Amino acid sequence: MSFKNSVCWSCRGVTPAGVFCHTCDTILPMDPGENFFQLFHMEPAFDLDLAALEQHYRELQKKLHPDFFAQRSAMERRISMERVIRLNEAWQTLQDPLLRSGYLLQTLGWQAVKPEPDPEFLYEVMALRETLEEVNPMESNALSRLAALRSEAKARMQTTIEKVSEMFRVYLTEKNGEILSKIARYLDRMRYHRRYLEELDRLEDQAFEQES
Amino acid sequence: MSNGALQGVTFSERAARQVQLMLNKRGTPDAAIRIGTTTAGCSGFSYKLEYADLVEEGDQVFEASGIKVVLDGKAAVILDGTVVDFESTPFKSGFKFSNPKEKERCGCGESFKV
Amino acid sequence: MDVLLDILEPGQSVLPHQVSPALRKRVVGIDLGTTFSLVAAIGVEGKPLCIPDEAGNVSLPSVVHYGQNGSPLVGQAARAKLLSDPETTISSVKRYMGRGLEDIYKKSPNTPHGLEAGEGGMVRIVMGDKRVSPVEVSAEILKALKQRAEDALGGTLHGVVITVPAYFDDAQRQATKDAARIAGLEVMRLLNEPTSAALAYGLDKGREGLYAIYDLGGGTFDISLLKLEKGVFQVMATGGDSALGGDDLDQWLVNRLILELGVEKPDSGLIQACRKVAREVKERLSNEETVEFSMPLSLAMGRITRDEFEGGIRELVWATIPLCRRVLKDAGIEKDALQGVVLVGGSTRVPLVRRMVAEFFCMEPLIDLDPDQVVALGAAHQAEALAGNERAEMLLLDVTPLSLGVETMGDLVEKIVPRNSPIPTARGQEFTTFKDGQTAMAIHVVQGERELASQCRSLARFELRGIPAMTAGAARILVTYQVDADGLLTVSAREETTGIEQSIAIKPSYGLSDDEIADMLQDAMRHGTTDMLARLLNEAKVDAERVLAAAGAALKEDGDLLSDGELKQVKAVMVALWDSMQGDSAEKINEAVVQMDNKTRFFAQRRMDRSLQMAMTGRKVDDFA
Repeated sequence: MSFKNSVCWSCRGVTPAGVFCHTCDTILPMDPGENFFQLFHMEPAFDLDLAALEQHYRELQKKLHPDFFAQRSAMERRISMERVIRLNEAWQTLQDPLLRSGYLLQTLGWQAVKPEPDPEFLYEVMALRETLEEVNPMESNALSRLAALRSEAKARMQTTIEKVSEMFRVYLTEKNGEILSKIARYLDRMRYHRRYLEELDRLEDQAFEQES
Repeated sequence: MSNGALQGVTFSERAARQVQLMLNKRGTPDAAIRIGTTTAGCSGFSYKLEYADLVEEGDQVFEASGIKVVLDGKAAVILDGTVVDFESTPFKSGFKFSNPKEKERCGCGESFKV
Repeated sequence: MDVLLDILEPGQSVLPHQVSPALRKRVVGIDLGTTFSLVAAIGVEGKPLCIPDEAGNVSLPSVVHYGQNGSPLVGQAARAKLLSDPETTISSVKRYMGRGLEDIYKKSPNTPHGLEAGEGGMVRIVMGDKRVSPVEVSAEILKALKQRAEDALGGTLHGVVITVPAYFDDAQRQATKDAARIAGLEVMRLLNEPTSAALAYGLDKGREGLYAIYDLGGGTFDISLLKLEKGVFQVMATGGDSALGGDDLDQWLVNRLILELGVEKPDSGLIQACRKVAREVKERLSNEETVEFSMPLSLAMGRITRDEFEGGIRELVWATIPLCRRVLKDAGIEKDALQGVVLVGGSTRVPLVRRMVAEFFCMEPLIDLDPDQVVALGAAHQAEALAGNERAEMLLLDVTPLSLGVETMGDLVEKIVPRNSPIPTARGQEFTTFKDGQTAMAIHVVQGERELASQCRSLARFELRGIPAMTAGAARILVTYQVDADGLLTVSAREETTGIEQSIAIKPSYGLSDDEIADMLQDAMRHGTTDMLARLLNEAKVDAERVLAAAGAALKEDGDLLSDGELKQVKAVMVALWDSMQGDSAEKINEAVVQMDNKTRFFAQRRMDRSLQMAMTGRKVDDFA
């Protein structure tokens, strides 16, 4: 992508792709073909250095944010806004393991087809539901009970994330399409674990308000 | 005052001190400042206050309270008798021109007529 | 008015009534509060300061009195009328901003004013045969602050930053912006109050790390978590309650006073008198264990202990704590990772509030900046940065306080922008038709966390028409939500299958119809505030000229890329833009610029492709490495 050049909309000079025109330093429109990983100058992968990602996010914000263009032309303000909207979406997506795996699957060319049901996991889900139904947030020991469930749920989520991370690593060396559909199934598991944690949040909120 | 000698432009002590301070800060302690007016047709005049690195034809050069002043030749008559003072509050500071020839000011104070 | 001049570099002087680019722009930050308001600016020393009135008071009571004739009284003078003219004196109007009648009565059935529903379901305040909208009342307060600032800064304001509670919804934000427009102010940004406070702490106190900002104002509660790092102020999560504040603590005292007086149906005069006593008692209870006071409008004495007061308000104050807990969870942050908790808002002077906050966060809260002033001070910093007076190394990254969604079948809400999304943001969602031959689709925009649309705040309803008749499920309608840096939402919908672009953009408008705003603006213009409009128009024209010039140059160089039909189309939008420039509506010009941009995008794309091709064939790849 090093030889991608374009005409600057403002000074009409030819400039390499980037944030600012090399000649007149005006902000350039974003490249709609650029994926979220490219935006942060990272290779598509599941294992990302999150600290570096955040660092990069802030640095890009310091260049692109509409606040720095408040006194510029409407066109420049618009470009800055569009770029930051995209940056924010990219950052939210890559920062979150669930959204990141979905996006990575898509980037790697996986076509979303409804994954076949996973009977093994279905049993787990039913068992988990029961644990939640047994908790009454109005009871005096509800908070500690929920805290215990939370750490178990977090551990399950962590295990799933590690599994997904491993499968992505294997895929990136072997390029075997089968693995992607397997990952897609694990994505459903992650989604479930996320919902379960949210449900715990809700119960905890209730229990906490009760405790006063 | 119409036939008497020109009184010129004077600077208050405070104004002169501030000018010197700003010249020092700019790194040109020995430079002069230029005063004059700008105008655009019927909207009247407004005062001009700039650093002066060059003297042009028709400029009047003089010293006031120890600072070098360049007066736009064209503005010499309009500014005659003007006293320049420096004012400072917590929210604004700057030079104030008191000109006996000023007849009327626009609402916002930015321009005047003679 | 005396004008104070700066010494400019040679040649930078401009003609009368033009602004020299070399000069600092006059900008201020405004804290438009429930009980009082402040305005702050960066002083000559480079630090933000609240601007005092002639008597030296920095806070302006947010009270407006409408007399028989003449312009309304604002501030101290209006407050003095609260007791004698309670019906025509309005306080705590912020609580009514962007609110409907139902919302208000749900929270506080005892309002001192008559209220009725106005257009769009928004409340109007009744004063005899006169009706005023909360937006107009707020505009009076803003006008007073504007006057104060212009006197102190020595000239017309270029722009302002106005703070709003982080938990304000779209309607409340829009109402605030409308008020500023009526007051003749150019709003550079609506800034969230806790974020503003964090800005002041970060910039003036040099604090870095993770901070919680606990902001209990007169009528609103906000809790925000921020990461302060090398000039970047990043909001991690925000929460709160836009109808809970110090006024509610007063209300408990008011109710108790009325009960003790044994009055069954208190009139507005008595309620106001009780309010006044309640406020004084509350303030004294912050320092004294027992307070004796004269009962309102009576010769009797009253007595209350701090314990009794705390017993009465405990539940109200406690209501803030689960919100603090939720925000920590939203941000995924543990309490012990926090560097500090900052207290903002006059109500945080109440000892019980401080104790509860300290207990929950397990640390003593910070109060080294005046909790009444800190919001305005931060806003002054942001105004300075937005005006470009200094290329500040400061940047605010804020989030949406509430989820934005769309109603789907059966009153269910589909979230499109989740709460705590960094702004600006845009999210799309695809919908389809459910009936054969369906040509229109109703879209209901809602805000809030509840799962049923009827329990969320309804922001706007609109209908997308002109969908080509197709079998059910064949049409693809993309609904896009865009939230700008002020936290304001724009919704658009587009039918995508047929290639016919059918696009509708709406800005939800509340409380005031566009006509009403136009009327009030004309009113304001009669009072001599045309400067701002003229400037906006001028800016729009300059911008449009630039766009036209660029397009003309592009046609000259690469016009051969266009078919005759396309050339006609491009020329038509250019003409439309030129036409708009002959009028005097900045908005119309800006719209035409956007239109022009949209309709010539394909041309820009082709030009880019051509230059790329030329670059590839004309030179070696290495040249561009």
